[in-house]
Order: sequence, then structure tokens, then C-alpha cells
Amino acid sequence: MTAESYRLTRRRFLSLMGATAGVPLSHAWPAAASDARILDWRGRMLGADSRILLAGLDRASARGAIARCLEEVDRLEAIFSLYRPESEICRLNRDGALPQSSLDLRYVLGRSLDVSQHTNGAFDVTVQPLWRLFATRPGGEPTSSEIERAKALVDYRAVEIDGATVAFARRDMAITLNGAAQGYISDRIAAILQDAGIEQTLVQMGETRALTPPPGLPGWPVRLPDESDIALVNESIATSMPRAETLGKDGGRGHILDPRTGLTPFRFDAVSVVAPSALTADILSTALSVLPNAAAHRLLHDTGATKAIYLTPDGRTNTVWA
Amino acid sequence: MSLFLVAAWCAGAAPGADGETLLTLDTAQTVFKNATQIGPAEGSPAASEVYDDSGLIGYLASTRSVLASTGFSGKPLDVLVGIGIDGTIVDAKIVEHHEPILIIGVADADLDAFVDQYRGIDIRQPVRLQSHDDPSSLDIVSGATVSSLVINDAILRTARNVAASRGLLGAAAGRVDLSTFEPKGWSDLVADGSLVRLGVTVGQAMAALDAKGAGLYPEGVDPPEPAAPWFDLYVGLATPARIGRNLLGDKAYNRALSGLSVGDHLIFVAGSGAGSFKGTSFRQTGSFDRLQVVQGDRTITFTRDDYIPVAEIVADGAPEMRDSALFVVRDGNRFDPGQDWRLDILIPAAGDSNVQALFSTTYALPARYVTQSEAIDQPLWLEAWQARPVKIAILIAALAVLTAILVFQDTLAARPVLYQRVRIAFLVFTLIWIGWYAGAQLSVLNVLTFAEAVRTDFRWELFLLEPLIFVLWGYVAVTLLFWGRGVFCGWLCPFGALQELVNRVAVAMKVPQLNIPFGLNERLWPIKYVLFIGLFGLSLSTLPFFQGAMEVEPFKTAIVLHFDRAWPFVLYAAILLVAGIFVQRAFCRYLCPLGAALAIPARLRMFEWLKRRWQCGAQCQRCAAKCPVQAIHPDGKINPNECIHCLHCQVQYFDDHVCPPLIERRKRRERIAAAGKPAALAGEAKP
Repeated sequence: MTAESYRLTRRRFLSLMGATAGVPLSHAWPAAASDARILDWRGRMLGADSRILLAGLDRASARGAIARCLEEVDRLEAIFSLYRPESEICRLNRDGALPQSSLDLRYVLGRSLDVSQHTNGAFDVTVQPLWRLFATRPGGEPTSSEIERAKALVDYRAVEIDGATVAFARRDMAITLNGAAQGYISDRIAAILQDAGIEQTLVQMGETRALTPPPGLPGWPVRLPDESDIALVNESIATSMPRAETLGKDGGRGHILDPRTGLTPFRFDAVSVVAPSALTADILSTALSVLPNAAAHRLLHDTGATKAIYLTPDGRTNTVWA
Repeated sequence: MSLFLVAAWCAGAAPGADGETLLTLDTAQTVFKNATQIGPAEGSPAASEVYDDSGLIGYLASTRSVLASTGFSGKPLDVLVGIGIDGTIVDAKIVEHHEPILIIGVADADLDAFVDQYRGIDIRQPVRLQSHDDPSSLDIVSGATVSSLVINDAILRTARNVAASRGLLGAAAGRVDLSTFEPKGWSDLVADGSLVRLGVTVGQAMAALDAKGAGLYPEGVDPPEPAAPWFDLYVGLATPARIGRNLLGDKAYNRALSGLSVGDHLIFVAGSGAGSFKGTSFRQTGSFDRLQVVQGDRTITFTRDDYIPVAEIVADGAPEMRDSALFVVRDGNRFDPGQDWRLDILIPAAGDSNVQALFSTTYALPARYVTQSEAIDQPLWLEAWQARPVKIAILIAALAVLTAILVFQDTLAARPVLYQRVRIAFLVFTLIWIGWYAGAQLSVLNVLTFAEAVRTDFRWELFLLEPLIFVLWGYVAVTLLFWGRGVFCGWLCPFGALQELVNRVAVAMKVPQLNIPFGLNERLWPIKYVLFIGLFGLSLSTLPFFQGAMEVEPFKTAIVLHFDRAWPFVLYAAILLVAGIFVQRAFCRYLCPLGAALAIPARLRMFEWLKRRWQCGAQCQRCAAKCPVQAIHPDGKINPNECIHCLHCQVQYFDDHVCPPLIERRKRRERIAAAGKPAALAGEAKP
């Protein structure tokens, strides 16, 4: 992103802050809310609605903190965004190799590959060729040979990390970190706020990361897909809804694909994962969308997550603990 | 993807205790022409957001609410300052001032013109006033130097405070001092923040690798105690000599610097503990994979070419390190050493696992290394003193001469010709150098300002702003106690000197002098006290009339502005000077409110250094009649409230051809001398 457009977005952000007031904080906000003054910043990042709630700060200091957060988001978009041609991920997908990659890319990739190993590829960042095949054909179903060719490019084991260099073992492979980067960005933003001495905050950058709740509240209230509330303290939650966005003819596939089959198993409407970090929650919520319930417990345990909450098509809620 | 932001703030459950709206849209529009909306004044320092149709365009702040600014008058000064989001001053408007030095009709326009100069000023750059060697410096209001300085200070400090708190200053807020060096040991550098420490224990590293099955050590290897250090890292910017030279020693530091291009910086990383921040892969791949520097939206990674091994840390008391290295941040990274940055560091899991742990430490270069633009850091008054060392030295030398004159006044008074020369020379110096050249004419305004400051918020800074005036007042305050008001009035007042010199020329040209009968003289004296008390009373109010009333002093017209003023002012000063042709120092004697102000404490003077004889007044009125300001009562007493300490009476006192008792004595001596001579000679002497 050029300096000019950066300035514009920054200006736009600053200008819109303070423009309106009176938006309810959250419909999940308890009636007997805390006395704390909550500041609510909203924006759109990485294609998702974003929100930062800050308690116990005046607007001027909050604005300084938000400005730092936006710089960090901008930096991370320059690494993870599939929509920026010069982002690290786009360069890697285009060239098949990326020397001198950022720590951030390899950190997220490392966690992703670890989950791939644990799930034998049920979660796989190299699903991008398959996803692209469906996403770019909104009208017609691709032929089975096209699908087979794309499936042959999906293999997390063909991602090689050597020092700072990330490379693909096969031509035309590509990765997407859309199932992980938002969680990572939420973690990073929370860390930046913490570094600035701000503890009472809730960060939603696609996924949700909570730190200390405002005084008088048991936790930051977050609404689950089944309309119930969960109170978060120093933990994260990520939700995947396979039906939220559909691909292919007649909506036969969700935006989450089983990398091994190219299909979306619509066994449930939503799965939410609670974990210490938003990165883990984000990766697991994607992985659990395609994993059988039986494997969920072990994955949650192995990755240090807390629990998964499933919403089934008949409206029931199942919770699986680590 | 572009950051498409739809943002909104809202106050949460409890309504915020927003302050009253201080600044209205109407006032905002006087500064921001296109303003369509203005927010409440809030934050610290308080400022209002100003919007136009496209969004936020800047902040509006009042110097009075940000700084509680006061003017030269000691009364509130309020300037509205508009700060654009690009860190420049959009405009400034004076909304309230009580600067009495200003002249009716001319002053407000002058002041507005002065303030208009701030339009478009980049507050990251130093702003200079009236500097001969800097063509971009701003013009000050002629004759209102202190007011100009005070307003300058109020505008810039307000703008900078608001801009800094809103993050508008960006990268160029300060420059990094790379050259200052003083020997410092390791612990000093750690203690003052030149180096920051990042400690990660084995336990913390293992917890951060939170995925089960990913360990810090390979399976089968027993990890050390959880409290054992994995990393004990020290990180800092090594480009400043005070850090780099102390850490590396002269030779290694110079060698490292010699490899840098302009804008490159050195980051020092050293660590002990079980883990290595360097790893080994850079030897094969050429890139370091365990650390990166992050600043703002920039991610800075390092290759082998950016790496300088450090053989030895020479700083006293440096602990033993496992690895020490310098990393070069190349200029192309837009790295600003003055802004915060952080070091990210990865800890890889052992074995085949791809999991890594991530730690960060933020580094803020200590303020000592950041040279702020001078106007930000340095007190305004100090700048004023540093700007005119020669003038201050000349004035102090002149005051030393005057002190010598006063201390050896008897010796001088006994030499009438020398006295005449010294006196005229000093008056000429006072008029031309102190008055017309340096503009250091004390005024009753100084007295009133001082009284006002004592009454409200006393700050020496306000008075230190004009070094010459400050030095003069210091001298006058001391001499007031020893000699009375006369030292100032008779020797240091440029307008007094002007009157006296004009009168001397007139006398030399045989212009008849008007002798005021003493009874009338005595009854005219109180006028000046009435004027002073009137001005003092007015100064307690904020009546605009006060500024006009100040014009009873012709000092500004005749001295500060060199008669370059509207004709009524010039006419008034001319009338006073014409009066002074016929009545020596007519203004001083009957009208001068400053003289009155000084005469009141003159009663406190501790010494009586003007010599008198018992015959004075009783038998002889000679020096009383000759006193240029008729300060000697018929009874022979010198009135200290009126005396200008010109030493005229002292010259007469020592002159045995003028002072009747001395004449008497001389004649007697001559008679005795004549009587003691041989008769023949005595006879010869007869005509």
C-alpha cells in the first residue's frame, strides 16, 4: 500500500471516529452493565468487521492506542493479505518461494502446519488452489479433472521452511492464511494494547481476543451463534459457519472446504472454539468444521485449546472440552 | 486489500462527563474556513476536532485552556490555534489579550499581522523570531518584543502539545543525537534505558510453545529448571556514540559506522542463556530467521550483509554473552530511531515441529538522545539571553562605569571639567545606545506588570524575556536602596537624557530659562503621583482605556519607535521636549509616572551620600537655585523624591569659586597667606 493511500485510510479512520455516538455497545451487553466508560472503535479489516473495545480510557489516549493498532494491522496486511499483490503471501504464491520472510508469516504458517500434522491434512493452508477453483467459477461447476488437478496441489507436507525461506515443493501450489491470520492479528493487536498499558480491552479482528473485562463484569460478553452469551477473560473465541458464504453451483459448497475431498461437510451450522490465543481458536474453528467430532477432543487437547461449541442444524448445542 | 473503515465511537453504558463545548463552529470557521462540524474540547491537552465534508481536518485549541497562557501584561492571553492533521498550523487568531505596550489603532492590526505569520508553519521545524541569519524567521511586532515572544511561545507550545498528543508529529518530531559521548558502563546504559532487557525463562518459552508435543528440547533430553534463562537479551540502538562507542570501543564502533550509509542505523543485540537469537540458518540461506525489527507498519528483517559480529563488549561491567551482534537497519526501511520500535524474536520448537514461540520487546530511545527542535526544549528566555550576548555585555560594562561614577562621586565632583565631560558622554550613551539603539527604555508599565504578576501568577520567565530591561531593573532596584531614584532618572533614562541634552543645547544657545517659583514647583510635584496611582488603578482592571492611558509616557514615541508614529503621539512628545527647553526636565519633574513609582520607595534609601554644609539653606541658596530640577528645598534639604542625582550640587560643593562657604574659606586662606608674606612683597602686590 502506498503512503498516499495509507494516509487516506488513516484520515478516514480518524475522521469517522467521533462522528456518531449512541450505537449500542453490543446486544449481548448486560442491562446492569459496568459503570466503566467503554470506547468502541469499529472498522473493516482483512475483509471482516473489526472492533476494538477499550474501557477506562479517555478518548484522546484511546485514539493514540488505536493509531498504533492500525499501523500494526497495516503491517500485517502487507504480509497476509491475498488482496495485496505485493504481500508476502502473494509473492510466495506467485514465485513458489519467499526468501527473507517475516517472523509473522513463519509463526502463523508453523502453527498451521502443526495442526495439519495433527489432523492429517483436515486443516491445510495449501487448499488455496482448490478454493480458487470454486471461488472463480461462481456460475458453473468445474470439471472433475480440474478438481483432481487442484487437489493434487493441496499438500501441507510440500511446504518447506528453511531458515527464513518459505518454499513450495511443487509448482503452482498456493496457500491461504485466511483461516489463521485474523486470529493472529487479533492477538498482535491485543499485545500492542497490553504493551501500551491497556488491559481492559476486547479486540475483534475477524476473531475475538479478550483481555481483562471492565470493572464489575465477569468477562467480556460475546454472543454465540445460538444466541447465548459467553463471558471471556484473557482468552479468545473464533467461530466458523460453513454455510455463511457458499461457493459453487447451487451453494453446494461452503467457503470452508475439506482439503482432502474438496467438499464442505455440512454437519453443523457453526463451531466456536475457545482457546488462549485467537490464532489457535481461528485455526481450530476451521479445522473442526471438517473434522469428525471424535477427533475434536484430541485436537483441542494437543493444541492447548479450551473447548469447542457446536451448533447443529436442529438448533442444539454440543460442547466438546479439551 | 484497502482498509475500508467504517468507524464509529460511542460512549458506552454510562454517559460520558463531557466538558462544556468551549469552541463553537463559528469560532472554528475563523481558523478553518471550510469547517462544517466541531467536536467538544476534550483530551489532554484539550482540543476540539474540526471536520469538513471530507472528514477530520484538524484540531482547534485555545492557548488559554491548554497553557493558561498569560501575556506580557500578566493578564490572560488567548490565541485560537488550528492544527492541521498534517502537523502544520492552519491559522491562529488572537481572541483575548491585554498587552498594554500596544498602541491604540495600530497595535491590534500589527499583532494580528504577527499572528498571521503562523499560517502554514510546520511545527516540527524550529521557528525563529527576527533572526538576521535566518530569512525564514518571523518578524516581531516592533516595540512589542516581549508580547511577540510570549504569543509565539503560546502558539507553538499549544500546537506542539496538541499535535504530539494526537500523534500528528510523526517521524520528524526530533533528531537523534549521534555524536555526544561520555564514558558509561554497562549498568548505566541499562539503567537509563539505552539498553532494554528481554528475559525469557525456559518455563516461559515452553509455555509459549503451548501446543502439546512441541517441546523446547528434543524428546529424551531433560530440560533445565523452568526458571533457568532461555534468553537474557539486551537490545538497543547502537548508532548514538553514547551507546555504541561505550559498548564496542572506539575502533569497532568507528569501523561499524564507516560501513553505514546516511540514514542507516545500528541495532545492538546481545544475549546469554540457553537459546541463540542468531540461529545458524543464516549461514546457508543468508537471512536471519529468528529476529525482526518492527516499527509502525514496517517489518525489518536482516540478511548476512546486515550483520556485524561483535567480538567483545567493552563497556565496564558487561556480563558474559553467548552471542553479540550489530544489525544494520538500512535507510530504505524508513526507520526512525527517534520513534519506538520493537524486536520480535522467535523460539523454535525442537525436532521436526513447525511450532514456534514469539516474544517481543519494545525499545524507546531515551529522551536524552533526541534533540528536539531548539524552540521546543529551551526556555524562551534563555534563547533571548543567548541571542544578544554583546548587548548584555555592553550594558553591564556601562553600569559598571556608572557604579564607579557613583562610588567616586566626590572625586569626580571635585573636577568640574572632567565631570561635565563624563556626564554628557554618559547621557549621550544612555540616549543613543540604551534608548534608540537597544530600545531598553524602562517604563512604568514594567512596574505595573510586576505588581500584577506578584498579585496573580508570578514567574521570573516573563521578566527574563527582555535581558536588557531585566538587567537595568535589577540595577535600578539596588541603586534605589543606596542612592534613590536619581540613579535611574538622572543617568539611565533615555528620555530623561534626551530632555537634558536638548536643554543643554538650548542653554548654550542662550535660550532664557524659566524659573518656577519654589512654592509652585512644590505644588506641581504631586501631579506625577496622581498619574501613577491612576495608572495603577487602571491596571487592576482590564479596561481598554488603560492602553491609551499608558501614552502619558512619551517613551515609546520618542525612544522605542524613534518618533516614527502617528502625529498626535509625536506632537505630544515634541511638546514635552519644547517644555524641557525652557524648564529643565519638565516632564520628569511633574508628569513622569515611572519617576513617581520610583520616588515612593526612594524614601527607603539607606545612605545620604550627597554632601551638605550647615550653611546650606540657612545662609546660602546658591546650589538650590542652580539645581536643574529644583529638588533642593529653601531650607537646604535635598528632596530625595525629586533628586535626579546629577551631582550638580556636588560639583558646586567642591568648587571654592562657587560654593559661598568655600569661597569664604578660600579668601580667608588667601588673606592669611598674603598676611604672612614679606611686607615688601605685600606692598608690591598693591595696584
